[in-house]
Amino acid sequence: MEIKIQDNPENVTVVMSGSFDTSAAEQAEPTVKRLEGMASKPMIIDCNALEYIASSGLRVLLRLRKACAAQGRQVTLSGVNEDILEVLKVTHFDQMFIMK
Amino acid sequence: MARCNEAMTKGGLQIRMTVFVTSAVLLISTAVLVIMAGRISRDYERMLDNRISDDLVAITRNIEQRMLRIEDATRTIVNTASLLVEDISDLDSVLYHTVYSINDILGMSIIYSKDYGFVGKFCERYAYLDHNGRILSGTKVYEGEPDARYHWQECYDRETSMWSDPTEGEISGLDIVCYVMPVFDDEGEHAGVSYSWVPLSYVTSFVTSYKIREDIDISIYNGNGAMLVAPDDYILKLSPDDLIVREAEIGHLGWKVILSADRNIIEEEVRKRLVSLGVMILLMSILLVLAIAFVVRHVARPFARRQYLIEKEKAVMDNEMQLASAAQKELIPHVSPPFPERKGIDISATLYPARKVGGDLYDYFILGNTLYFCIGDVSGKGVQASLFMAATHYLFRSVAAGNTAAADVAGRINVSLCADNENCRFITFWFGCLDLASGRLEYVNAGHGAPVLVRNGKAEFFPLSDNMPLGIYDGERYISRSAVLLPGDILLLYTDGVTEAMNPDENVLGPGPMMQAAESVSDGSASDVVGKVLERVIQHTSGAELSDDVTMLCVKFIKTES
Repeated sequence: MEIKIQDNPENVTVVMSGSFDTSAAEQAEPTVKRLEGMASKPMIIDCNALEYIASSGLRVLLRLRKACAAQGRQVTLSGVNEDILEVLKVTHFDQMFIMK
Repeated sequence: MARCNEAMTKGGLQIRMTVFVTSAVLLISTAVLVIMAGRISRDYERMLDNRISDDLVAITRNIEQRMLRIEDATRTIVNTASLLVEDISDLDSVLYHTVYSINDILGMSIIYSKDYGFVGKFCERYAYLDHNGRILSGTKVYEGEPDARYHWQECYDRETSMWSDPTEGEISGLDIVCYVMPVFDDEGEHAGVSYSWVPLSYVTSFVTSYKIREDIDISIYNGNGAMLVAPDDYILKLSPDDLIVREAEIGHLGWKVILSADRNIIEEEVRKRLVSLGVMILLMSILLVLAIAFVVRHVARPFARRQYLIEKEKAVMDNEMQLASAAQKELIPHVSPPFPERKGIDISATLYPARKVGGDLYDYFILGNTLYFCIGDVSGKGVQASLFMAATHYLFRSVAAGNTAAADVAGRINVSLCADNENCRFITFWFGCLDLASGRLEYVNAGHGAPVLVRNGKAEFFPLSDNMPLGIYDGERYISRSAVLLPGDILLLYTDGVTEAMNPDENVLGPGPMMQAAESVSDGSASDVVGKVLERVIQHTSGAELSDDVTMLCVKFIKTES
C-alpha cells in the first residue's frame, strides 16, 4: 500500500496503490491525519492502482469525506476497479463520493 | 508479591551471572594449569636441556668471538712487528700501544730467534700492564734458548699460530694462556714468536660476564685437558645424579666449555614458574569476575529491570486481553445446540478472531416464534473494533427484540451508532427475522456481503438489499427484503474473513470453495456446514496468520413449526 499526495492549487490529489487492508490502514494513520488537515480543497482520490480495499480502508475514505464535508468540499474517487466498485455499491459508498 | 518477584529476578540474575562466570573462569584456569603442568612435566627433560643448551650456545659463541678479537689484534701487531724487526724503538712503541688499547690482552712479547742486533739471539721484547696499572716495557735475554716449551717449538715448526696451555707467566708471574704466533722477517724467514698474554682471571671474568643464569656453572678445558676456568666447588660436591651437564667445543680453539647445573635448582625454578603462572591466572580470573560484576551491576541489572517491567506490563496486557477475549465470547451465544427443544430449526456459529479480540459479530435469539439473527463486521480489527462490536451487539439485543420490521431495526441501530462516532467507525450488518411457523424471512443488509443459500444441495448467493453500513450516516433509510425459506434450506452468513482468508502466497480463498464446502454437507446439520467451511479455510491458509476475523452463522430451516 502506497499513498502519494499532490497538493495542487485547486485540489489535493491522493494516489493510492496496492492493497488497502487493515494493517495498511493502521500504517497510513499519520498520512490520513495530514490529509484531514488539507480538507479545505476538493480532494481527488486516484484509485487506478488500488487493487483491494478492506473495511478499514473504507473507513479511511469516510474520514476524508467527513473532513472535506465539514469545509463544504467533496471527495472524488476516480479509476475505481470493478471489484472495489462492487464493494462500494453494496455499502452504498458510491453514493457518498463523486465517482469518476 | 510482585515486588518480591521483582527482587528475586534482579538478585537472581546477578547471582546467576556471577556464579556462572566464576565457575567458568575457575574451570578454564584449572584446565589451563592442568594442561600446562602436564606439558611441563612431559617435556621436562627437554625443557631443562633446551634451557641449558641455549645458554651453552650463547656462552660459547661469546667466548669464541672474544678470543677471535684477541687473535685479530695479535695478527695485526705481528704483521707490523715483522716489518720493524730492525727498529727496536718503533717495536716497543707498537707493543706499548697494543697493550694500552686492547683491554683483553695483559701483555705482549716477541722472542727473537735470530740476533737482530738488539741484545742478541733469544731476547724477548715485551710490554705489559703491571698490577699498578702501569705499562712496563723491557727486554728479557735468555742464556741460550728459552725453555723449549712445546708451543713455542710447535708454533715455530709449523709456522702456525695457536693457543698455549695455561702456564705461569715468566715475566708477569700470573697464570696466563698465550696466543702464540710466528713472526717472519723481511726475507720471509722465521724471526721469532709473538705471545699475547691473556690471564686466566680474564677468561674467567669473560665467562662470568656471559653467564646467563647464576645457578649454571661454567668450566673450560683446553684440547689437552688443561683447566682454563675451574668449576665451582658446590658443583664438584654434587653427585652426578643431581647434575645436568652439557658441553660444547669452541671450534678452532679446541676448548671445551662445560655447563653444569644443579637439577634441583632447575626443577625448583620450573615449579616456581608454574606457581607464578597459576597466580597470574587466578588474578586475571578475579579481575574478570570483578569486571563482570561491574557490568552486571551497571548494565545488565538496569536492563533486566526494564525488561522485567516490560514483561510485567505485557503480562498485564495479555491478561487483560484474555479477559476481553473471554468477555467478548460470552457476549455472543455460545451454547450448542442452542435450542434443543426446537425441532424446526438448527443453528451453528463460529467466531474466530484474527487477534485476541475481534470486530466481528453474530447473534441470534428466539422470541415467540421468531428467530432474530444477525452477522456483522466492524471496520478494522482489535480492541477499538471489539468495543464497537459490543455496542452494536447490545443495541441489536435491545432494538430487535419484538421488532420484526428489519429495516426499522437497522435504522434505529444506525442512528445510535452514528451519534458521536468521530472516528467514522462503521459496521457492515446483515439482520433477519425468520418466522419459524411459516419460513417467512424478512431481512435487511447494511453493506454486508451476500449470504449463501443452499437449497436442494445447490449453493447460491442470497439476494441482497443494498444499504449503507451502520454508523456512517444517521439519515440513511434502510430498505428490507423478504423471502420464504423451504424445509431443508440452509442459510450461511459469513464475514469476509472467510472468503478473503489468505494462503501464504497471499491468494484469497474466494466464495467458490466456501460454497462447494457448504454444498458437500447440505444433508448434514448446521454445525456440519460451519465445520466443513472452517476446515476449508484452515486448509487454504495452511498455517498463514489470519488476516481478518473468521465468522460464520449457519441457519438450517428443517421444517415449519406451529
